[in-house]
Amino acid sequence: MILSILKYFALFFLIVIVQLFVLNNIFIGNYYGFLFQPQLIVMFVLLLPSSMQHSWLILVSFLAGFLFDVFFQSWGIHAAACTLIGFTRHYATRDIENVIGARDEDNQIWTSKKGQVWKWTYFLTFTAIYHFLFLLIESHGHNFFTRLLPSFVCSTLIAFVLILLLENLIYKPARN
Amino acid sequence: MNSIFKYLKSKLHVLLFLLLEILSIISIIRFNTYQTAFYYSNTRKLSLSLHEANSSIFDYFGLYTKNQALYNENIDLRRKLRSNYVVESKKIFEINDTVYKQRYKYFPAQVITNSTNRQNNFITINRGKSSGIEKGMGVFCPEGVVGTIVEVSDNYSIAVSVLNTEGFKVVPKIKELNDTKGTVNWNGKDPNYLNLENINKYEPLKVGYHIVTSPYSKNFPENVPIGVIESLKSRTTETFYDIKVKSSVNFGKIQTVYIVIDLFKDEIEKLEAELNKKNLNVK
Repeated sequence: MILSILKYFALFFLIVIVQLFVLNNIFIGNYYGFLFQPQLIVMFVLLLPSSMQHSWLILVSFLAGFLFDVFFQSWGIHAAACTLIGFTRHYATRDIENVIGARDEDNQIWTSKKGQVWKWTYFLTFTAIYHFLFLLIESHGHNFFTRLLPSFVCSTLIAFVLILLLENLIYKPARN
Repeated sequence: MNSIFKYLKSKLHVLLFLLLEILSIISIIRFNTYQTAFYYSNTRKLSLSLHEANSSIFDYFGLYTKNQALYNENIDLRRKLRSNYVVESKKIFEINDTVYKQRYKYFPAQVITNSTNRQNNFITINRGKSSGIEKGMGVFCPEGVVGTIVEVSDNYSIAVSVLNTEGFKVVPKIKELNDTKGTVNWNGKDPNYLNLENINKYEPLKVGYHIVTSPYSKNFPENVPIGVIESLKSRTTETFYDIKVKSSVNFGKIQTVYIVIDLFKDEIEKLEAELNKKNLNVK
């Protein structure tokens, strides 16, 4: 239990560091920089264990978003979006089951019975919702077609690829 | 009664969700623009130290351009030295020191966080109240205007960048015409270009004219560069020009900035406050 909590703390700080040192420094000052705004925190919320109680899931997502807000001076945007994702993702992952042979401490989303395609749709859908909300609130809805939509599509795809990559690096499915 | 509690308990997650969502929406509405930034000053310490580590790493990559900018500025200053000039007039004259009184003071500072890809960009600077920084002071770098301070804590301050669709205001002057006109805006897209608006299309403007700060701007000294006119369009249906200004600052590479302290600010504000008391609005 404590070990897995520590693991999630480590994951959170890894995400903050990747966001701060890598993602926020690429394309700064560039004309096309606005297309590149992936927010990795959504990965943290999506990877929380599905055996968590719904209320705890919402609370932890809110706290993660809030901490992210503190780090990146975006007061409340990440918190609002993370809480919504935490609330809705429960309905997607509550009936998840581990593949036979997976250990209890494995990440259930990683070792779920539903397979790759389900996992990809799960990540892509929620990443898209998250980025749409984030960009919409952040820009107050200005420049919807010229700036927000292209930025939304690009950032979602980039974040999706990054999440898959990072996940493959971090979670090795350990089986007996 | 008991059944109500039971029902509420079964819907606890929905209540929690609504509560937290409302909390974050309140914080978005209340804090998001800029008054905000230092509300949770204690929680910020860790984040700022991380940001500082980040900027200290990335500072090295910009050393060349920074050097070049300082070199150019140095040459400019050197050209203005009195030792470059020889007195030609044979008449005797006196220099009265008290003719000049210092109006602006400058503080050097480092940029800790900076962004250009949002529609409202802010810059965090590692100087705060303890160095005498206050809200409303101007921030510029050797190349030109960067922003104005909007929030100050003890050791840090946040400036609203020129790249901000809402918060930033500066009074521009067209250097070649020596005329204060129009307003500078950013449309939220390309960080290298600004818009100059509200200029009548019968003004004799040309591509390549320099836009600088006007003597009327409250937080900047005169003639700090803002940009150069890159394209001029006039439409028959509109009375104003469509002007695209190439920003003189590369906002992706700001590392060292100067903060302007106006020593006359209090005096000017006091005067204006007196007038405002008499319901004469001075702006």
